[in-house]
Amino acid sequence: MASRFPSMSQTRPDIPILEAQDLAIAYSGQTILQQVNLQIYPRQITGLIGPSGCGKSSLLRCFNRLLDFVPSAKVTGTIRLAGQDLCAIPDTIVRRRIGMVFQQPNPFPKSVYDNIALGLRVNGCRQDIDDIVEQVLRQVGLWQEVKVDLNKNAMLLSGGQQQRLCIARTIALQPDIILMDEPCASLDPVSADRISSLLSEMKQHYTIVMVTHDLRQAARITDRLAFFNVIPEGDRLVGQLVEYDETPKIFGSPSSSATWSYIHHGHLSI
Amino acid sequence: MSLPSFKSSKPTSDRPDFWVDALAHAAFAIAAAIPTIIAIAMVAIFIYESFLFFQEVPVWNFLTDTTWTPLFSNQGYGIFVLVAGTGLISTIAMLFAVPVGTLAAIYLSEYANDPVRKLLKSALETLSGIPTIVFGYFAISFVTPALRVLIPSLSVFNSLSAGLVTGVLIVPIISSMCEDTLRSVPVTLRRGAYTLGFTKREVIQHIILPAALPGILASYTLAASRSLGETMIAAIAAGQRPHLTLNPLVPVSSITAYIIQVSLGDVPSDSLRFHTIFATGMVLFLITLSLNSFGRWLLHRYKKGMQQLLIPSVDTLQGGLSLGAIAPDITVPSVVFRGNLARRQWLDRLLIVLGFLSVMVGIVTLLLMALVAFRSGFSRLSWDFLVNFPSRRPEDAGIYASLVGTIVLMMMTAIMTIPLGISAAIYLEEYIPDRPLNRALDVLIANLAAIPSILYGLLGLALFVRQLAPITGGRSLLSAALVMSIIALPLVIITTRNALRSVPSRLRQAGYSVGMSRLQALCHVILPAATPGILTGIMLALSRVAGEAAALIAIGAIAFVRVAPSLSIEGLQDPFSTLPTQIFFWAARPQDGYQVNAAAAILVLGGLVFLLNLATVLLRDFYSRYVR
Repeated sequence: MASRFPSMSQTRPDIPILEAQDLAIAYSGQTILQQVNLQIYPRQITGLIGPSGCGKSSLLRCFNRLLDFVPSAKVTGTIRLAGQDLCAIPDTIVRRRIGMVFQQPNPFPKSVYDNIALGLRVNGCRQDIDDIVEQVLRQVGLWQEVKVDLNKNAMLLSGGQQQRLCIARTIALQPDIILMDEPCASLDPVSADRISSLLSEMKQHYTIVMVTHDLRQAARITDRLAFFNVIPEGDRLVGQLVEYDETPKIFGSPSSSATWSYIHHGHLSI
Repeated sequence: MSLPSFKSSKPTSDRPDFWVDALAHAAFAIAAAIPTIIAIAMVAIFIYESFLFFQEVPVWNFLTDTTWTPLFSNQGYGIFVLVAGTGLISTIAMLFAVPVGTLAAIYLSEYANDPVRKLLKSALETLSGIPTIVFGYFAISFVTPALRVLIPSLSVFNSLSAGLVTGVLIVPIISSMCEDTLRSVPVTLRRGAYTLGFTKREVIQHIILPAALPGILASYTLAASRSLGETMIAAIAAGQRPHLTLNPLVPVSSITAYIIQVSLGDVPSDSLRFHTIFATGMVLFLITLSLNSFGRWLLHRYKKGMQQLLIPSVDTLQGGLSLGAIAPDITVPSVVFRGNLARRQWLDRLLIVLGFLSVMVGIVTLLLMALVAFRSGFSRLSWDFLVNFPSRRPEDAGIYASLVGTIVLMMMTAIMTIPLGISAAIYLEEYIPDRPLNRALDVLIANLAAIPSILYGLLGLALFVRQLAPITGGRSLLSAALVMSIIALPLVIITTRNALRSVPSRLRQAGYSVGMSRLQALCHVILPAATPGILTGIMLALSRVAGEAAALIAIGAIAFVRVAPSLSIEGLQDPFSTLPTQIFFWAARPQDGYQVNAAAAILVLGGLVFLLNLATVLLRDFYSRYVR
């Protein structure tokens, strides 16, 4: 299996690793997001911004096929992971290769060690797991805090530590892409700041796609930004990708006035 | 649940209806005291009778004898023999029900989609509403003969058949409690596991089951307690022959079956044999009570644990570490995954198939039970069968006396239980919510509801049949109604409390805000809103009454009743029979004719319970459409 679905971590920076083409998402027949064309480049942080309800989180869940578990959701269009159609890859393989971190830290009610080791074991890693656990904990800056007792229950960690543990268990699988759904939104400012610094340093090794409402954070750490907005269609609002470009351009001279007013005035033009 | 509530606003004395309110308050409080009185009476009688028993039989013999032969000349009183028999049947039941119930719960909670789940779940729950006497008949008329084809050395009466059928009986208990537990595991944990590339089976095995373990163990404990107290299946199919063995192929006796066996004869109340059944009952009482308490404690702990999972902890290290602690320059050794995806996906599918088959075990048994009863009993159904009295010739026998007995019993129980149960529930839910007294009564009532009904039968035997014989007429319909009321009361209180609790507090507030007194708010706002739930609870309790056999045999239902009970004082003091007891007496006779009669009576009983359900659904529908 491993050879049939090779990891693409060595791809060239100018070739997109993930591509969405004419993507649309509908819940119970009602379209909530349409006409998304988006390329994610490796070793960059791509931010998805826009008002609540425009379908950013749903889009993120499309990328690792987590939306498959919502029976009423229907996705049309194609997504390619390193040139390969996402639907042609078994869903468990997709999710191993595209990791995800949620808004609310969700460590398993197990020890710190098991939180990381379990994913490795389940996916069939036969290497020295102790070593990998230590390295990923170092990488997220948690090693100093938890090395005394790796058997401590992860639920006893603080929110910020839990979130870093969730990042650690994700990168232990060495995913091609890490999806993050507002990873700092439920944390206090100090913890959130640490996560932000961590992310900006992580991008040397990983490709990150994150949904965020924190424009300051977006300006600080993202390389590219995609702005989504809701557009009236009939009597309902449908999400759409308005603009996608490098972060300085989005902040400095966006081509759409809607982007400008959202970013600089916190104002939505529908 | 410490939301500000309007429940406990005190009536003030300047209102004209103050006295009405106070009177109602007192009446509700008295009703709420009844469960406590029942519990005290129960414990007192069991301790008193056991004390008399141990005056004659040394405790040492009771605990160490290896024979149980109180009815023979060389008497042995080794309770261990009966406990072993009970344990053997329960163990077989649990060996069957634990895997089947758990897999069924996994299928229902994790794999089945919504409409399928609702359908399968209600089918499984139907199984738990079937009178246990029907299970007993099924064991002796279908399961034992079928097993004897496979195992020729199997006795006609054996613990294997009794255990398996008891197992089917407790599958719905395990599956529905387990399913609730599994579904309460937060969705965030599942998502976390899925995003690491787990298959569904791996999520269940590594994440959901460990997290839900206390709740799952609680369901096993409560189911085990139920199987230990199960009476009719053991009495009919296990053989009522006490001897110490672990061989599932030979007859054994359980505590419950022994009590039934003794109750079938007329035992003088001051005899040792009479004390014996109470001493054995005491043992059963203690075992089931400790199992229930343990199960409830586990469940309580689990719910608390789940709540804590959702409460974020405080960041104790906040600001204590510098940002320099992050060292992302370290490269992780390259990880190679050799997982065999095909095998993982195959295991996933295997779990689906096993889960589905487990659900089907319950549903197929349900259909099989209906089929067996129809095949042998349908031809016997006729007008004559309904209006004839029991007879020594099976083909002339009918169920008139038992049918009328059952209906009168249900009516009398309803008259006694409904006002008392609803009043007690109102007091607990509306007058003293969130007080230690409330919680204590909560535990007490839950424990009362889980006591095996045969023990209530013994309580009735001592209290109503013996002590109050001048009033009740001894082994009479009145005694039966009193015992059934005691059994039904905790059920009515529990379901009514749940119904009252589900009335939104904004309705209460609306009532008080237009100046209603507590009683007025209760009568005009809260009770009407809770009525559909209360009706369902009453229906459940009444179908339990219609199907109860063990307690009624203990207080002395008889096989041949030649007059239908009349609704007079004398009539209610007459000997009685009901459908389930009549089925028991017929099923216990070897002649084919009586077996056919038992099957036909089962069909009538099934029809009666079905009509009861239908009436409730219609009534509830009518109520919510036109009255409210």
